[in-house]
Amino acid sequence: MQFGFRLSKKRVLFALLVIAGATSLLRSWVSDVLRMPAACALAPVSDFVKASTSAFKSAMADREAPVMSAAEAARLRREVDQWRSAAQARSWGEIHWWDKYRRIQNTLNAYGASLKRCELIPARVILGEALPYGRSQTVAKGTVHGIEKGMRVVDVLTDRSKALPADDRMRAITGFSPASGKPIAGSVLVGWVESAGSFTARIRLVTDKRFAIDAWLQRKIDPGNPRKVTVMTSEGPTEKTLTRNDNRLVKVNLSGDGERGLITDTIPKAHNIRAGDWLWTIGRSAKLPVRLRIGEVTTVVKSVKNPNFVIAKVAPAAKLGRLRDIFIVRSLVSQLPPSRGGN
Amino acid sequence: MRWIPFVILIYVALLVQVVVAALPVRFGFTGDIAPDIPAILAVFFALSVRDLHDAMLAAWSLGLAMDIMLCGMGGIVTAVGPMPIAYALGSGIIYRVREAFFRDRALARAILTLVFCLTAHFLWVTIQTLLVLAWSAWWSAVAKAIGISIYTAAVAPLVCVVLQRCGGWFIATPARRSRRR
Repeated sequence: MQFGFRLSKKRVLFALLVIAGATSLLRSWVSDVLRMPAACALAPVSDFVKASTSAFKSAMADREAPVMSAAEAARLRREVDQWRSAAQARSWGEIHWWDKYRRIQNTLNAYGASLKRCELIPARVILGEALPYGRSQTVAKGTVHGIEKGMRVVDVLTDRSKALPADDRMRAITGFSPASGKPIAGSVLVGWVESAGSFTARIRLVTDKRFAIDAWLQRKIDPGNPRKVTVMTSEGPTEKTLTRNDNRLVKVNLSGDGERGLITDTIPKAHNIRAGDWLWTIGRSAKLPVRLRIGEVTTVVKSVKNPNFVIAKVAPAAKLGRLRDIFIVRSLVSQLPPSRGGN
Repeated sequence: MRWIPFVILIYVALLVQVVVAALPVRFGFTGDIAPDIPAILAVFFALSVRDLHDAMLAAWSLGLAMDIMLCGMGGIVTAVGPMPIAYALGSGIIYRVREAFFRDRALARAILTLVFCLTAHFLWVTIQTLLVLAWSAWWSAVAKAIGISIYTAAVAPLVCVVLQRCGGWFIATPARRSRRR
């Protein structure tokens, strides 16, 4: 076959450099088209590699609690049985309370903060970033599995301090992670779906600089260390001790710091935010209609621009370095009956 | 160059890269850093092959593989393309200056890897920033690039010991020392 020119290495190199320049200018139109098939090509081997890395990091980071002794498990079982029978006696004994209980259950099912308002799609993390410039992970689920851009991603936390013996009845009572056998302690926010290909999707982690979300900040009440807050009264700003009754949630804007944590926007100093306070998702969002833990305040620093405001640094609740099996949330809010008002 | 074994090498290098990136080291001003294994390979080929174009083509391929695997930088979604250009340019520089060094020495390899990484990563960060005009991310990304370059240079002599032993699988005609004075 004759070409009009000789195909030399120099010309090939020049052509490749021109192609690289063109793809740079086309930006995300081309990058996702190239990245998703590449993730699929690496998936068979990288899945094993990721599993090994996660296992290694877990082994390095966690000090396993000793398995609960048989006597301790028996005591816990007795305690649970006592509570259950007491609860049953209360609900069965008084029709009035039973009726009220049913009503509360119905309300919870319709409006309450449970993951019943969502469908959880399990996904496995197969690949991370090649260098720590960004914070994203690739999962082996794509548009063919119902994944869409913008969906929220959660993980379940297992309580590692309560390792239960195998085949223990407590497992059925508390619920446990099939992977580790540990009781489930709660769900935490991991990030959201940045882009979705046919078979893979990229997750933007909460620590990525591009991540931003509205959140509730919950101040922890510690009787041993009371917290003074400034509140507005008819007599002007007054300082008082924060109690459980007036501990309102503080709405903040959270974003990733690009490393291993998150930072809030400026919060009025009057709220007296402290290390140890919790951050939760809003819970009224269409994408994630439940309240989940995001992280815990680790440090509070004064705002450089305004001394009356502070900025809180937050440690994510999810173990982001060891992500393996996660859940992508498909919201079912549109299928719920419309609200009749009230709370 | 033996291109088919080289493609397999890129695949393996990417997997190794994903592992080392998942185990980052934290430094004060740079944040999390990890070594850039494909950069060490690119320097190895720039020092070992006979032809400049072979070295640059190998670096281009390694750069493309890296660019596909790097999805974000300081809050921006990165484009695919700047890293192959940066790697090819860095490889060209190393090829040109290699005669001035004793290539088999560990220190020479470390210095050349540092020069390569600084060139390639600085270019990559700057081009990515220029494409979206997000200069707020530039300083922190450059600090990270410096950290990554130093870490890669420190690791390079160790990786090169392995590469030296199996270099014949990928390079058909190794370079000889020039007789020019």
